[in-house]
Amino acid sequence: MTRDDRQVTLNRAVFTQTAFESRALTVLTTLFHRFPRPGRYRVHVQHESRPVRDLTVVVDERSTRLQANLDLANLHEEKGCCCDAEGDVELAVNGVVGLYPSTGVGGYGVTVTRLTEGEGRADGGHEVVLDNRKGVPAGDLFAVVLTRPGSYVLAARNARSEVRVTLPRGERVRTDEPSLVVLTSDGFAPRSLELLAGRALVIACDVDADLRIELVRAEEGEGRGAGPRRRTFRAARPREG
Amino acid sequence: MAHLTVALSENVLRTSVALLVGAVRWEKQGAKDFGAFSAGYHVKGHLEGGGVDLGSDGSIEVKELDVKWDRFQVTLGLDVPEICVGGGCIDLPWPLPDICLPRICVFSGDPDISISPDLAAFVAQEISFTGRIKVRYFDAGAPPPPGFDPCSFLAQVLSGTGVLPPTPTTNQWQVFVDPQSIDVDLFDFADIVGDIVEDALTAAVEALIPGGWVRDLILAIVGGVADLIRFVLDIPDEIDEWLSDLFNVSFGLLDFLAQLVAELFGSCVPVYRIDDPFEVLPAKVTTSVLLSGAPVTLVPVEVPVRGLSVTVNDVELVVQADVGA
Repeated sequence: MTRDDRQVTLNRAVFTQTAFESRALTVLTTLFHRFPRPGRYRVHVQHESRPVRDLTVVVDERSTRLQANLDLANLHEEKGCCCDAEGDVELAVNGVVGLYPSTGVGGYGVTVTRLTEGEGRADGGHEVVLDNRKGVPAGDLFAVVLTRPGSYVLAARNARSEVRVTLPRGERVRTDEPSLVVLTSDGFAPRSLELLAGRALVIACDVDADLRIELVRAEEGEGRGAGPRRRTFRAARPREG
Repeated sequence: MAHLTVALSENVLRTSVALLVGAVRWEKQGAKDFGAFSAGYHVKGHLEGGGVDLGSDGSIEVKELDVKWDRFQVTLGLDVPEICVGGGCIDLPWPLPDICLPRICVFSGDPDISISPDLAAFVAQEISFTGRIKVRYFDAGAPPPPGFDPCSFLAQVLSGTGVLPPTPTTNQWQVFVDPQSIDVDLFDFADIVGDIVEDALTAAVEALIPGGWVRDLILAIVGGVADLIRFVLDIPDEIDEWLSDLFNVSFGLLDFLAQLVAELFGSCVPVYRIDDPFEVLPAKVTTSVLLSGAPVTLVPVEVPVRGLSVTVNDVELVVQADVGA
C-alpha cells in the first residue's frame, strides 16, 4: 500500500512552557482585545527577533462578525489567517480579536493603533489602544492554557491568586471548558481555583494590568502510560457459537 | 458402441487432482482507503491435501483442500485525529460577545501510524467443491475469442510456473472437473490475532507520545490509546471479528479464493488432455526395415478421436470415444 509519509512533530512548547506573561505572547496564551469604537485600526505584530506582519482591523457597525482569532505564528499562511488578501479584518463594534501563537518559541508583541480618518500611517498622531508589552488595558482578556500539573501563582499589580492544575483521574477530560477569573482593583476573584490540565484560564481585566502566571510547584503524573495497559477490545460476553 | 473406452478408478482421479493441486501457488495484494484509516494486504498461499469422492449421480466432490498461507500480511494505517488543548467559549455579560478560545494542537499535523504484522501462522481455511465433468474440444486452428481471456485472472495471481498449460499447438480434448458449488471457510481470526494487532497499534500510537505527565495528559484527552484506536477504526466489538469482516467482505478474499478454484478447475487447467489426433505410435528411426540396414524414419501413427464423452459413477470415471476418419 502506498501512503504519504507525513512528518509530524511534537509541539514541544505546549509541554515545556511553565511561565506566561501578557507582555510576551507565547504558545498557550491568548490576548483578546475588544474594539468598542468604529474605525480603522492597525495591528502591528512583532516577534522578539523580527517584525511579523501589519494587519488592518476595520470595525464597522454594519459588520456582524464578533470575533476573529489570529494565529500569530501563521499570519502568512492561508490556514492561519482570517483576513482578506490585503490583510484586512472586518469586525463588528464591540467585537474581539484573539491574538495567539499556536507554535514556536519566543514571545510576540502586538500594538494596536487607531488610525485617524484620512491618514494612513500609524505614527505620532494616532492613538495606541493596545501595546501588550506595556500591559493589558481594562476591558481586555488574557487567557492561558495550563498543561503541566502543579501549583501556579497568578500575579498582577499587587494582586495574587493561586491556581492548582491537576490531571483527571480515570476519566476522559474535555479541554473546551475554560474557567474565568476577574481582575478588579480589589484583586482576583476568585482568589484561588483548581482546574484540569489542558483547560484554559481566562482573566478578564476590569483594570489595566500586567499579568504573569508561573509554575511554582510541579506535580508529576501517575505515569499511567508506562504501566500495564487496559484492554478494551475484549468483550465480556462469550462469543456466540 | 464406442471404439475406445478407458476407465479410471477413484484413486487415479485422486492422484490426478493431487498433482494439479500441488502445483497451485498464488499471490495477491491490495489496499483500501476507509477515510480515517486505510487497510491493505499482501498474501501468498497454496493448496494442500484434499480428497476426491465420486458420486453415483455423476458428481465429483473435491473436499477439504487446505488453504495454506505462506504470507498473510495485513497493513493498517491510522490517521490519528488532532489532539489539542484549550478551546471552548466564555459567556460574557451583554453587550460583550461570548469569547471563544483557540485550540492549540499537540502535533504539527495529523500523525499517521502504520503496522504490517504477518498473520500467516494464525490463519487456516478449507475449500471443498462439488463439480461435474466438463469436456471441451480445443480447436487449434480457430482464432482465439476476441477481447476476453478466461484465464487472465489466473495468469495474474498464480505464481510459479507450470500450472497454467501453454496453448496447445494441436487440437485437443480437454476434461475439466467443473465446480458447481464451492464452499470456502470464512476468515475467522482467533483472539490471539486481535491481541497481536491491538498490541502493534498501541505500540505505534504510544511511540508518538512522550512519557510521564505528558502521556497522562494526552491519554486523558483521547480517552486512552485503545479507545482512540477503536474510535478511528470504528470497531464495534472485538478486533478479531472486525478483521474477519475486513477480509471476508471489504477485501473480498473469499470471492478471490472461490474464483481461483472455479477458474482453475472449471476453465483453465484440465485434469486430463487428449490430443486429436492421438498419437498411438511415435515417429521413430529404425534400421530393421531395410535389408541393407540403412536407417528409415517411420512416421508417427495417429488416430483421430471423435465424440469423446466422460461419465462418472460412484466407483470410476469412464472415458469413451470413437476413432474416426
